[in-house]
Formats: sequence, C-alpha cells, structure tokens
Amino acid sequence: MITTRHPRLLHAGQYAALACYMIFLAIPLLWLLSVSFKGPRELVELHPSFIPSRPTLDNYNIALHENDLVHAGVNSLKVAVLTALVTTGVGLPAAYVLARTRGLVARAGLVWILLSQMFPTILIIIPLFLVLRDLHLTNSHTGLILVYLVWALPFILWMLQSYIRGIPRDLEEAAAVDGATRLQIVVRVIAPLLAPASSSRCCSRSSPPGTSFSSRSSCSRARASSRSRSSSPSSSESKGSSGSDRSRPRRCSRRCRASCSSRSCSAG
Amino acid sequence: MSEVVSPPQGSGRPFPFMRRRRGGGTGLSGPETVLLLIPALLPIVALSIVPLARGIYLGFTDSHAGFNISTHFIGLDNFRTLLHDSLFLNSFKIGIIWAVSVTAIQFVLALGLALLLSTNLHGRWIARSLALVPWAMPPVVVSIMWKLFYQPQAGLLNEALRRGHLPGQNTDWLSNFSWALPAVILVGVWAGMPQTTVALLAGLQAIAGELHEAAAVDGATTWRRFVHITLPQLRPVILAITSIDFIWNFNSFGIVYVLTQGGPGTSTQLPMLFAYNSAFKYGQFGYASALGDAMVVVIAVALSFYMFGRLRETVQ
Repeated sequence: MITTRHPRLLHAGQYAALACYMIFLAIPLLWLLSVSFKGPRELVELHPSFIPSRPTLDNYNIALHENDLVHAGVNSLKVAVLTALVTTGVGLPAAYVLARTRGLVARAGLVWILLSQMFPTILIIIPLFLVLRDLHLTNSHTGLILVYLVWALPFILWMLQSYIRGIPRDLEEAAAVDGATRLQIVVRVIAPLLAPASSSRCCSRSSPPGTSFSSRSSCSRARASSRSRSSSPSSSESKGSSGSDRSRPRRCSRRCRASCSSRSCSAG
Repeated sequence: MSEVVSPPQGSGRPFPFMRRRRGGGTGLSGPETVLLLIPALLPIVALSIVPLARGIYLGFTDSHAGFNISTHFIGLDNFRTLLHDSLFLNSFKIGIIWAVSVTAIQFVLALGLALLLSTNLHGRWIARSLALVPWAMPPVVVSIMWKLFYQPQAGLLNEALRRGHLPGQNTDWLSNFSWALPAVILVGVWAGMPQTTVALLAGLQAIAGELHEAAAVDGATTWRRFVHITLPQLRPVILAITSIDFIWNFNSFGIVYVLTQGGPGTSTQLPMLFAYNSAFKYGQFGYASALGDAMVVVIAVALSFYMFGRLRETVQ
C-alpha cells in the first residue's frame, strides 16, 4: 500500500474486515465438522456446544460401511475422469478453430457458448432424458458421461480457446514450414502447450460444471486478453496470465523450435 | 497445407502475424475446419441443440408424462395460462428478488474480499484458501451444512443468539415466512463467493501498478484511487461476472430445493423449483417447458444489456 494518512488505522481496519470474511466463510464449515463428531443424542440437545462433549466416530463408520461411501466415490471418480478426458479430447480441436478463425463458424461457436448458459436446465433435461431412454443409456455411467460432456463443453471450449489465443502463431508457422499438417500442429504443438490449462480443467471436473471457478475466471481472463489483443500477442499473454505461467510460452517455444528443426533435419 | 501459412521471412515485414490478425485471414481451409469441428459438433448437436429445440417446442404443446399420451400443438395456450397463474407470477417475483440480491451482495462482498486479498496482509492465504472451499462443495452438501447451521434447537445460529441474549433465538429460520428468503439468500451468497472473488482478484491483478503510483504521487487518497482507477479498470470484469452470476442465480435450483423445497408456503419458490414441480410432480412437461421458455426471455433481456455494454466498450 502506498502512503495514506492513517496507515495504522487502515491496517487495523483491513485486518478486522479480513477476520470477518474468514468467520463468515469458515463458521458453517467448522459447524459441519463439529456436528459430524456428535452422537445422535447430542445432535438434538437444546444447548449445543461447538466442541462435541462426547465425540464419536460412529457417523463416519456408518457412512463408510453401511452407506457404501467408497463405492459411490469410485463411481464419481470414474465418471469425472472419463468425462474430463473425453471433453478435453473432443474440445481441443474445436477450441483451436474458435481461437484461430474469425469467420462465421467461430462467431457462431462463441454465441452458442454464451447462449447455452442462458437456457434453464428444465428445458433440456426432459428431451435429453427422452433421448437417453431411446438409446437405453439411462441409469448407466455412459449416459452420465454424455450428459456431463454436453454440460462441460461450453466451458472447456471457452477456456481452451482463450489459452490458445495466448500461444504465439510463430510456433505453428514453424511447424507448418517443416511440413506438419493442421492436425499434427494441433496434436503436437498446441496440445503440449495447453497441458497446464487442461489439467486445471480436469481437476475442476469433479464438481458440477455450474460451480467451477476456473470456467468463470477464464471468462475474465479472456476479457483481459481481448482488451490487449490489439497490441501484440506476447503482451496479451503476459497481461492475461498470472506470474507462474508467464515464462512458459517462451520456454516452450524454444523447445518446440528445437524439436521442429530436428524433425526437418531428419526428414531432409 | 504449406500454402496456408506463409513462412515469416517471406513476407518481408517485421511482424507478419500482426498483419494477418488485422486482416482477419483465417489460415484454415474449409475441410480442415470441418474436420477439426466434427468431434465437438456431433455431441453438441445430438445432445444439446436438438434436445434444446425440442424443449423449446414442448412449451407450445400439451405434453404430459405417461405412456401412450398423444401430444398436441396448442400454440400460445401455455403462455396464456402462465400469465394468469398467480403461483407462477409469484415465483417469478421471488426469482428476481433472489437473483438480484444474491448477485449484488455477492459482488459487493467479493469485491471487498478481492481488494483485501490483493494487499499484502499477513494470513491472507488462509482467507484465500477458505474462499475457495465453497467452490469445491456440491450445492446439496452446502445446503445440508447450512440446514445444520439454521436448525432451530440444535443449530449454531440460535445458540449464538441465545448466548448473546439477542432477539430471534427461537426462530425457525427456514420455516418462517419472512425469514426464509433472506436465510436462503445468505446461503446463495456464501456458495457463490469463490467464483466472483477469483474473477475480481484476477481483474485486480491485471491493473498496472503504475497507475496507482502516479495517482498517489499526485496526492489522490485511497478512496479516490479506488473510484477513479480500480473501478474503471475493472469494469469489463465486473460486467462479465455480474451478468454471468445473475444468469446462474436465476437458473439455480439445488440449494433452495434442498434447503426449503420452496416453502414455507411458496415464499422461496424460485422459477426453477416451480418448473420442476410442474414437470416431475404433476407431469406437465409442456407447461414446465413453457415456463423455461419464459425464463429464457427474461435472461435474454438481461444478457442483451450485457452485450450492449460490451459492444459500447469495443466501439470506444
């Protein structure tokens, strides 16, 4: 902070505010934790205490053994991992098109991403259920993955295309000069550079799409980079991204160039 | 393929990529575009666009749940019924109150938190991690947690009020006609904090420090710097995050469904809950879809404001 008239007072105020935020954010969580260790009798007592008077692990036992939490967790994990892989694989080429073209297709794609957020679930859930029933996919993991795929695609497209915009085109040009096809460029140049982006996307997959923060933050990120896009690609990258991946494109570009040139040597 | 992207040195300009960007040349041929788009396009069309179109169409029919029931096109009849359905009008009013207040409170609180997190206070990493926790929790778990918090006898809130000898210590917050909606809104704010905070924090960090330094040298106070530098610089992010928050809040379902199921009476019955009840409790698929159509219209109006704001920005 730069000079203010009452730096002490300001600091005290800031800490007080921060403490209030922490209480607001943490209290329900701590209460949940506290209740989870309480026995059935203590749960309905009139004057509950924050720290359980007779802490017990019974609730966890019941959840793990009687309610088969492990099995449910494995199911979730399986669906989440498969969805993340499928969505990224399917979304990457399309995100590349959205990022690198300015034509009708790209504009339609971006409009669809925005529009798909507008429609309430109720409009799509009934027909989707009918479609899945016709395909005999209800009550199956495949059906669930398909539904999640549709749910997650807008976000993954939005996020990946904003990352791809930050990648300098020189890399693709270098690969094209060496005779790489478009598909090879996407798979061998773009995909490795996007590894950090897609991995964060995979991590957030386990929560429902509507609640993932990376998707929302990527919107602001895309905005930040679109503001500075007119200046030059490198500045848009450094503005739009945080410090940790700022050095990344340059480092990768060197690696890519090296690999490209070595390939051309062997080809020649 | 090599003719698509010309080698940089051949163009004779220092920054060939800039020229190509401005010119709007795509560098992608038609077949390539199609090939790259197909894997994403197939599931989108089959499982998103087609069902969506069918869902919109259902709003104009008398579709009902059950076997061997024929569906007829009935034009705007559903919408006429909607306009005279006091339950629907009420749910829409509640939906607007919910979406606007959750979005507004969420934004103000998140902006404050983001500002605090962008300073170099000690212990802000705790707040930073805490702020991300709600994002990792599914709405159902969030609601169950807050139900425990609000519980009339064994809940933390009433016990705290009792110990502090404050009024309202025997209130059953979620079954009280005047308190249920505010109580639910607080949960909505809590659950939506992380996304808004993270987006605003990212926006704050993109603001160049030189601007603040220059203003401080000229004698601007913290408040003036906030109003004249931080807010204008954040404007695009604010616009984006608030409109997206509004859309999501208006369409939200899980939190309120688990907390109150729309009760007591209909005092927390959001439009989505109303639609869910009509579709899956009473089997009126057509009517529920008509309601969904109406919600799309409302959101489209909200979004067009947002688009208008963005458009004006681009022109400037």
